[in-house]
Amino acid sequence: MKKYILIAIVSIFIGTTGYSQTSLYTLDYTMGLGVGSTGDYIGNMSFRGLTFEGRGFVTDNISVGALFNWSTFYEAREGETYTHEYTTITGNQYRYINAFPMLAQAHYYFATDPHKTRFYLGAGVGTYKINQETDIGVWALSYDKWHFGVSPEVGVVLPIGYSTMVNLSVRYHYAVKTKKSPEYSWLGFSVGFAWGN
Amino acid sequence: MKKLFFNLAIVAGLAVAMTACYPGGAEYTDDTDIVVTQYNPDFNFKNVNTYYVSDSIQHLVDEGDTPNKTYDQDILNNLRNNFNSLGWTPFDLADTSNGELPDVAIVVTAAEVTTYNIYSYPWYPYWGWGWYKNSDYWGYPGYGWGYPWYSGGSYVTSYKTGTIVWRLFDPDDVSEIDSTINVAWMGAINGVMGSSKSNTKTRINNGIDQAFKQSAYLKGE
Repeated sequence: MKKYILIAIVSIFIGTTGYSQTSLYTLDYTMGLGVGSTGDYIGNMSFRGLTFEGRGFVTDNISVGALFNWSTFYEAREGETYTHEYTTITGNQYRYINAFPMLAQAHYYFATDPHKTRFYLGAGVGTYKINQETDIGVWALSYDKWHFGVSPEVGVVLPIGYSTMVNLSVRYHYAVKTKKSPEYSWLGFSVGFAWGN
Repeated sequence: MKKLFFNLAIVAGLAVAMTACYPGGAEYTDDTDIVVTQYNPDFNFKNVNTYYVSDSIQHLVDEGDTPNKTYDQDILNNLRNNFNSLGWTPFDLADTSNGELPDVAIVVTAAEVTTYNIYSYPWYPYWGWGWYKNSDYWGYPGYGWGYPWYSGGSYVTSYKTGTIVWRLFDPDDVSEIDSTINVAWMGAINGVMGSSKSNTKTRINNGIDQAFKQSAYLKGE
C-alpha cells in the first residue's frame, strides 16, 4: 500500500513540474464590433486591431499579466445631419474611433497541461485612451480622453507545437464616460499566436 | 530580455502595417460639401410676415481675382422660393418711402477667398440696395455682425473657398451703440467649386433647400 501511495505522490510531483508553465505571450489580430452607443456611432465591423498580452503563472491554472490593444473603428455616412446647440451641420461624416486599452488582467484556466487545449476566463481592468473624431467638411469634432474601464474575456489556447499555441478569444470592453466624453463599449474577437515556457 | 525585444519588434512591425491601411476620409471636392445653419434662440420667427432678399450678392475674392457671378440669380431665386414656402411675403422696396421696413432682411455673400472667417467680416455698403436707418439710405456702413448665440467656443468659424453665406436679421434689431447688426439666422453652403456648371448649380440648389429643411424653427416650430 505504501508503495502505491509513494508512486502516486511521485507521479503528481512529476506531472506538476513536467508540464507547468511560467509565462505565456499572445499576439493577436483583433476585430471589433461596437455595441450600445458605440455601435450607434459606428455600426461597421472593425477589421483593424492588434492585441499583445504578457501573462505570468502564479499557479498552474491562474495567470496575471498585462494587455495592450489597438482597435480602429471607421464609418463614412453620407448626408448626415448633426446638431449642437444652435448649430446644425449637414454633410458627409467620416467617423473614427481609435481605442488603446492598457489593462492589468488575470486569467483562470480550466486545464493545467500546456500541451493540451485550455479554455480560460479572464478579466482586465485599467485605462483606455480613446480618440473619437467626426470629420464633417473641413472640420473635425473630436474627443481624446483617458477612461477607466473593465474587460471580461473568454478564450482558448490550442497547442500547435511544443511551446507554440493558437489563441482565440472574445472580449468585452467597457470604458466609462468622463466629464467631457461618452462611454464606449465593444466586443473584440481575437485570433493569433501564443507562446511561452 | 532578448525575448522581450523580439516581442516588442513584432508588435511594432504590426503597428506599422496597420497604420499603412488606416481608413481614409473624404476623397473628392463634393465629399466635403456641407450645409451649416445657426440661429438665435431668442428670436421669434413666428412673428415674421415680410422679408426682403438683397437683389445682388456680395462677392469676396482674393486680390486680382474676378468674382464669379454665374450663379447669383439662381441663389437669390432659390432663397426667395424657400422663404415664400414658409408663408412669408416678399417686401416691396417701394414701401420704404413710407418708412416701412421688412420684418427681416437677408443679405448674401459669396466667399471665394482662400480663407474666410464669418465672424470677422463687417457689413459692406455695396449691396446695391438699401437705405440708412431714419433716412432714405438703408445700410450700416462700418457695422459688424452680431451673433447672439456665439459664445466664443468651438463653433464653426471659417469656411473653405467657394462658400455662400446668407444672414437674416431684423432691420430694427441693430445696435447703434456698438455698431452691430444682430443676426437671427445664418446659412452657409459649399458648392461654388464644382467642375461643371450643371453640377455646381445642383449642389447650390440642394444646399439651400437643405438649409431650410434643417431649420424647422423658421416655421415657428
